[in-house]
Amino acid sequence: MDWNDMRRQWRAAPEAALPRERLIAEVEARDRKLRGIVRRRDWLETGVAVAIAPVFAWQAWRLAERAEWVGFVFCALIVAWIGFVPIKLWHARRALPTPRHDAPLAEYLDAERGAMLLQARMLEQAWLWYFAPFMVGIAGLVFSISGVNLKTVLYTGSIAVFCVVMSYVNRIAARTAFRDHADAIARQINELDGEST
Amino acid sequence: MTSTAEIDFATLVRENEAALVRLARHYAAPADWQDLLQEMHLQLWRSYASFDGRAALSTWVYRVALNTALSHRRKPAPVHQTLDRVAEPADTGGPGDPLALLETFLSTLDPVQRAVLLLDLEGLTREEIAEVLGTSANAVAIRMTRLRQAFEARFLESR
Repeated sequence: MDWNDMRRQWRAAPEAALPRERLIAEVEARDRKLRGIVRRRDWLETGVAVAIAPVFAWQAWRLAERAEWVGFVFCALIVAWIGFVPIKLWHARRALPTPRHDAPLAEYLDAERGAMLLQARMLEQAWLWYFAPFMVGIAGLVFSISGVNLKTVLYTGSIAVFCVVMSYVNRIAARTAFRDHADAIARQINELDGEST
Repeated sequence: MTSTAEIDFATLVRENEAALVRLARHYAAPADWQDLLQEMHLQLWRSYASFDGRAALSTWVYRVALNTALSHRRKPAPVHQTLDRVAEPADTGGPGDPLALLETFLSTLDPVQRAVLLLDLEGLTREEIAEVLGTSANAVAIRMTRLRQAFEARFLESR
C-alpha cells in the first residue's frame, strides 16, 4: 500500500453528519449559553459591588459626620476598592487579545500565548490591586474605630493571613493554569518555526 | 445570521463534517471528541460572518478546526466517562493493518506534527497546509518527508 492508497483509505471511513436543523439549533443554543455565562459573571461582579458599597459608604458618611477622619479615609478606601475591582476586571477582559480562530495556526498560537501571559500577570499581581487595598482598608478602619488591642490585632492578623494565602494560591494558579500552558504553546510555536527553517 | 447564511453554513459543515470528525477524534480523548466537534461547529459559526474570501473556504475550515482542537487539548480532560463512550472502537482493523499502525503513529506525535500529517491525509496540498499553519510550503514538504520516513520505518519494522 503506497501513501496515496493510505490517504484514500483514510478518507473512506464514513462519518455521520448532523441534520441541518439540529446542527443550527445546537450551535445557536451553545453560543447563547456561553454568552449568557459571560454576561452573568459580569453582572454578578457588579451586583456584589453594588450590594456591598452602600454599607461602607454609609459607614464613611457616619465617620465624616463625627469628624473621625482617619476612619473615614480607610472606609473611603474600601468603597473606592469595591468600585475599582469590577471596573478593573471589565477592562482587563476587554484588553485581552482574542485569538482569531480563522487565523493561521502560527498567528493563532502567538495570540493565545499573549492572552495567557496577560492573565498570568493579572493573577500574580492580584495582591497589589485586589488583596492589599482591601487589607489596608479593613485594618485601618478596625484600628481607627476600636483601637489597637489583642482582639483587633487578632482580627486584622487573620485577615492578613487570609490575603497572603489567597495571593499565594493566585500565584500557583497563574503558574499551573496559564504559564505552563503558555510555555507549551511557545514550544509549539518553536516547532512551527523549526519547520520554516 | 440570515436563513440563507444558515443554509450556507449548514452546507459548509455537512461538506466538511467527515474531516472535522476525524480531526476531533485525533485531538480529543475518546470520551470528549464530540464536545470538541461541537466546539468546532461553534467557532465556525462565530467566525463564518467574518470570512473574507482571502483563503479558500476549505483551508479556512481547517484553520478554525485546527485552532479549536489545539486549544481544546489545553483544557482539563473530563473526569467522568460513560461506558458507551469509553468503549467506542477506533475505525481501524487489526494490529497489522496499515491504518491501525498510522493511528498508533499519530498518537505518538506532538500536536503540530500531527496537524501536518492529518492535513496531508485529508488531501490538502503542501501550499494549503502551509496556509493553514502559517508556515512555508517548503517547510511543510520537509516535515512531511520526515514524517513519512518515520512512519514507513515503523511500518516496515512491524511487518
